[in-house]
Amino acid sequence: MSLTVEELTDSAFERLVAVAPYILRDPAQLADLESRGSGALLSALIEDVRHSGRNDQVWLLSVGLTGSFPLPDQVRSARRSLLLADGDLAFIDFLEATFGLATGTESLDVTIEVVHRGVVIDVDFCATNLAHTGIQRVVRQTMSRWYGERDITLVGWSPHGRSMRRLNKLETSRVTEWNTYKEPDPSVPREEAGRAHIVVPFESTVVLPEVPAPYLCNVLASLAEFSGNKVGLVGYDAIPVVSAETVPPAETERFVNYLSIVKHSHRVAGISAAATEDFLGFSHALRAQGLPPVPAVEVSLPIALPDSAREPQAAGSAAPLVLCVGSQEPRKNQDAVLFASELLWREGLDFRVRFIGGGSLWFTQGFDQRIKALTKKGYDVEVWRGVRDEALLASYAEARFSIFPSLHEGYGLPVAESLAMGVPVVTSGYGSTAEIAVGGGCVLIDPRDEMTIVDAMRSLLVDSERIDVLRSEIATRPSRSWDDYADELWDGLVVPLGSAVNV
Amino acid sequence: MPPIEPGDNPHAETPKKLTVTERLKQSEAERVRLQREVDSLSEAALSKWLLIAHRESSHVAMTQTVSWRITKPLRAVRIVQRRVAEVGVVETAHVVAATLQRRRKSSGK
Repeated sequence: MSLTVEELTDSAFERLVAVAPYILRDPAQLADLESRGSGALLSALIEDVRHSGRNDQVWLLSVGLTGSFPLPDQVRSARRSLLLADGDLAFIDFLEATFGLATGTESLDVTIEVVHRGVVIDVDFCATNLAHTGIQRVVRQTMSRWYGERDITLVGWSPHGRSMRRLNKLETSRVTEWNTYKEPDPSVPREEAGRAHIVVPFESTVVLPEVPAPYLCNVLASLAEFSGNKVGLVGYDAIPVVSAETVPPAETERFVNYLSIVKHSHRVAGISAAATEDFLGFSHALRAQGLPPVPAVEVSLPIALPDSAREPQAAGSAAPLVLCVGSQEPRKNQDAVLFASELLWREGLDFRVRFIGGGSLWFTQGFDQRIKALTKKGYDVEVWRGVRDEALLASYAEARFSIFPSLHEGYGLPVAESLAMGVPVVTSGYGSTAEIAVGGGCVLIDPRDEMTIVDAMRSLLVDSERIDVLRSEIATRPSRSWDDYADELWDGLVVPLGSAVNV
Repeated sequence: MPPIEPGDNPHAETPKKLTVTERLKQSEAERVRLQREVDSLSEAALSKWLLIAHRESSHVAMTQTVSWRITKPLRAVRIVQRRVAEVGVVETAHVVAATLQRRRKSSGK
């Protein structure tokens, strides 16, 4: 889009007026500078930042001038240019130092809104994608409870990841009303977006409940290190690094980039004791870089059901159902479940197996072929993908037991959901799934030893008394809901970072 | 305008000379005028900078597209073709060789 010099100057003036009160704290001086125009205002801001030498003000002024969040090197370079500048030339030196940031911006026509001492939550992926597995379930369950109840600002990112922006109505619904909103018909033309408007947190708490996309990691690392905002993360796991052999290489690369944010963040809330330990390990290693350790606290996920509009109905009297929920990938070990099932079918046991969850084509293509081959042999096995929570809950209601023999988990949401539905679970006997199993209702196996899976499945398929015992154990487990989790996460992550008004 | 001297008496009657108060007023007016000029120059510098950054960002965005990068060799060939038409094969070959040599040197190979 081509802009006139007047439009560009007016936009820059609006942005500078928006950031000025957080740099120049004297209202009388501000009013005078505003009346003198953008050049005078920018000069005064530069002079003030030059004297303070504060990174957060360099960061904020860079955003105000360019409409883009600076990368770490851009903040350092702008600050050095100010500190080295001769008084009269600081104006020109700052423009020169921020020129690269300005040319990389999506539009110099953006307006900005500073969120001061607020709570800004980055939910970009959930707002713009329809995936709904582990992390997205946690984010949507939590945000649907915080939204409207707490003073929060939900944000996503501009198309090229240069700045934060508010969510539109549809995106907000995807995050906060997953089970009730309706996706619009894609053939209906969307409304033309007006001038871009960005959100700039300052002296605020920025919460990252998702693992950000790789192209956002550097800009978020800069925000965590320089902007003066306090950054809090939900720590899911460190699997892409500590079990790199179980994930595609791109996942490891993505996670290593993510660690560049973690190292400058201010607090991590691990979703299980195991996940918290992983983050504490990384945190302690930061001493070698001269960085302070990042506090990591455990705020375990609940043993709870996803929200659903309707009560699930169990199906009729077909063969017993073994349910395996979770994204389909080598780490989740679904192939071991297929192997164990085939052995048991050959023994003559009558049961059905249903897998629910999506996955990358790299894995699902081969997996689907193996399912097809078993179906051809007459075995009752199926895969459901892209289903809503209602279908998931109905499957749990129908299942005799569920199975989740993952090789490594940060938590193991399918185990918790199964228990919340009163359905016994066969799961891995270590790490976070073993933590969940402590309360009862689970049969623990060694996921690397397929015969332990076969034995566990056989036992639960033929031994109804054992199923009853497990069900009664589940009934006596202490309950902990998504409401509890949302409250505890707020108290454990957001409140200690200082900007939250606790409601 | 003459400078204000330390010995100036604000109450002295000097019909030909301006009073200190008047001179102060004039100085203030001059300061305001100069301030406006500085403000206006700063604004002009900022506007120029914004315009250049805006144009540069359009250029950067275009050169980062896949199609631009894929067609880069074709554009290089087209430039050579034009030079051949303008100055002949020998002259063009000299320029191409010198350009390649300079690039090799600057990349340290």
